[in-house]
Amino acid sequence: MSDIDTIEDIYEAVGHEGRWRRLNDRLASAAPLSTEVAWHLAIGREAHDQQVRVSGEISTFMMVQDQLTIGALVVDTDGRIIHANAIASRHLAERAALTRVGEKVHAVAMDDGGVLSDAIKQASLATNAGRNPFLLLRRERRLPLCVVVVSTRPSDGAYENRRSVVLLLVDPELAAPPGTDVLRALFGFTAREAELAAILMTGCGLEEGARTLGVAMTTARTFLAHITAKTESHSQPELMHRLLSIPNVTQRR
Amino acid sequence: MLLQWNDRMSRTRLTRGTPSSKIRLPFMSADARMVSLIRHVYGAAADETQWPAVLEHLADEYHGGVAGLQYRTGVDGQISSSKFVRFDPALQRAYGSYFATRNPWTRITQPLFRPGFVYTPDSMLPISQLERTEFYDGILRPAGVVHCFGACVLRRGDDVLSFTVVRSRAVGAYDVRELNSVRPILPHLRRAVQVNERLSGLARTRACLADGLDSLRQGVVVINRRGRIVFANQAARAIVALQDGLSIAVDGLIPASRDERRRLRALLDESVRTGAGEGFSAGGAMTVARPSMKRPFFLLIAPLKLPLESAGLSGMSTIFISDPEAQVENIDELLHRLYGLTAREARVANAFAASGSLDQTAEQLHLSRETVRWHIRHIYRKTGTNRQAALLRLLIQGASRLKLESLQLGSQANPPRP
Repeated sequence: MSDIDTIEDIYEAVGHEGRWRRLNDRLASAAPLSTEVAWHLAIGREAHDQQVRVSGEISTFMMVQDQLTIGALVVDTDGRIIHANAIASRHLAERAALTRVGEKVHAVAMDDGGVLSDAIKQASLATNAGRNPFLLLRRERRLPLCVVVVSTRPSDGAYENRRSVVLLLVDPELAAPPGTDVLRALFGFTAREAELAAILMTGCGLEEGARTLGVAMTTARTFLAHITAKTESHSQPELMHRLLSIPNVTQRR
Repeated sequence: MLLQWNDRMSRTRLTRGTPSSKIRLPFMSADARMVSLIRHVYGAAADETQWPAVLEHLADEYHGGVAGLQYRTGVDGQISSSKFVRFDPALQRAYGSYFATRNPWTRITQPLFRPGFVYTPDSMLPISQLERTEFYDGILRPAGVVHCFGACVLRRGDDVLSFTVVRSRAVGAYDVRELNSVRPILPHLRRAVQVNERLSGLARTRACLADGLDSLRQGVVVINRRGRIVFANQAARAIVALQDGLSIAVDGLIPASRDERRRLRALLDESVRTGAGEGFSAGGAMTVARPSMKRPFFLLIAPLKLPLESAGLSGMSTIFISDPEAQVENIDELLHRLYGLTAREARVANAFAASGSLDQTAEQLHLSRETVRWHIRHIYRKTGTNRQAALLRLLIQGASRLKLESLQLGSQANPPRP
């Protein structure tokens, strides 16, 4: 195989984990390499490593969004889906506000279709001066899904017109209450107090809480008094306010 | 002269690219100049700042007065991105904003462009005719160039990336031999551009995602397995900037008190083990006391379990931080847009979210308790909630998790209520 063919193979393999590994194996067994091939292999490795590193950061950020129960959907200017984190995939599968048609993302509500595709197009062209377009996608019998369209300017050296845009999907109905261990660590609740606090945080009343815990109303009231004191609050809504200022995160177990 | 320069350039790249001590002059069966050109082209694959140098090199090779890469989109030939060398900046601006779509050469050759296509338009558009165009008066004459060749690097539907060199009348028109010498370089240009595109596309996606985390009201810090900070969003940086019990150093996020430092370290160690698949903890939570005696910060630590292909990133954790004293932003506009609340209802909801108490809301807005209750009932209906706790949860954990100042609220009509 001639040097120039090998050099072509190097750049064709950049960014493709399997091909890159196979190519390196092949070249390692074909040693010694010519100066030219060695030089291009070094450049190829630089590009490959850079791509692996940035891809890793992308997976990290998407997973952090998952922890925050925020959907992250990376699309190109035509709405083609490039990446979706777990929450975004769930929204797509639910087909309540968004759905996947072929390779593209579509709004479910008829009137929202144009709004979404326009926002994606606009975001990729306009310079938003640090502000990201915000829109709402209707859902039947549920609160609308909030969508933030995030884009950045193209970098200087790129020759590319297909810019990627990130859609952040914030579901006002999707917020997991923290685990009881978190509540205990932050406020010093006992196990039972933490259970009651978690139930209250989902929006249930005290009676419902007592029923779920299987305790008498008087016991629940005692728990509530302790919880209120430990959070230094004076009323139930104020207590809720304290509890809700805990970072909004899902913890997988 | 040209050869010497090429060799010197190659050597500089060589020392950067290959740390090995055996540096020989490049020699392959092909012409040494071609070898050097190919090196330059691929040098830009991993490093987009190298493109001007590559173009300079190509301009030398083809004796160009102006050389450039242009990405044209659609049939109208709008330039979506371009890079030129030896092109007067003022002329380049004029070209980009006006003359690009009036370039008579492009109009002739663009439909013919296929990858590998190299063409000089001289035979189809004689110089005498070219001189009568506004493109000639506006661009070519002031730039002192008139003969050109265009080559298609890649084509996607109607979009074309072309490589163009234009040179002076004195150097003369391009002949077949020169055009033939352009062809072998084109596949390399294409590959270099594609690697570059992928890299910059990923870098941009990464930037968008980081920007998304910056628009959150709660702090997010990503820590690697050695405890070093990989990323801290704007809210986290703002909390650190308060200098109220939390600081950032090279080796991580540091609470002021020793006990808390120890506790955070223990939680992170546990989380790293879980992230690496060696533990079972789902993370943990702790408070960080503040010298200002305000309510302590809440910290939540959670392991990041990344997919297998990112094995190098194992053992990462996220620290989420919130400040219970942070003022709830004025979210009137958002509430109006999101739930169709009237201005007055939005004010009530806002005050209620900020204080968590009906009495305080009434007092703050100078309304009677009954009026506040009345508004709250309407708000329940519009938001689909039925009690204060549920409403608060919706207000605090819903869309208001996003910083309002990072959003651009458009003119989208109110959605129907659920």
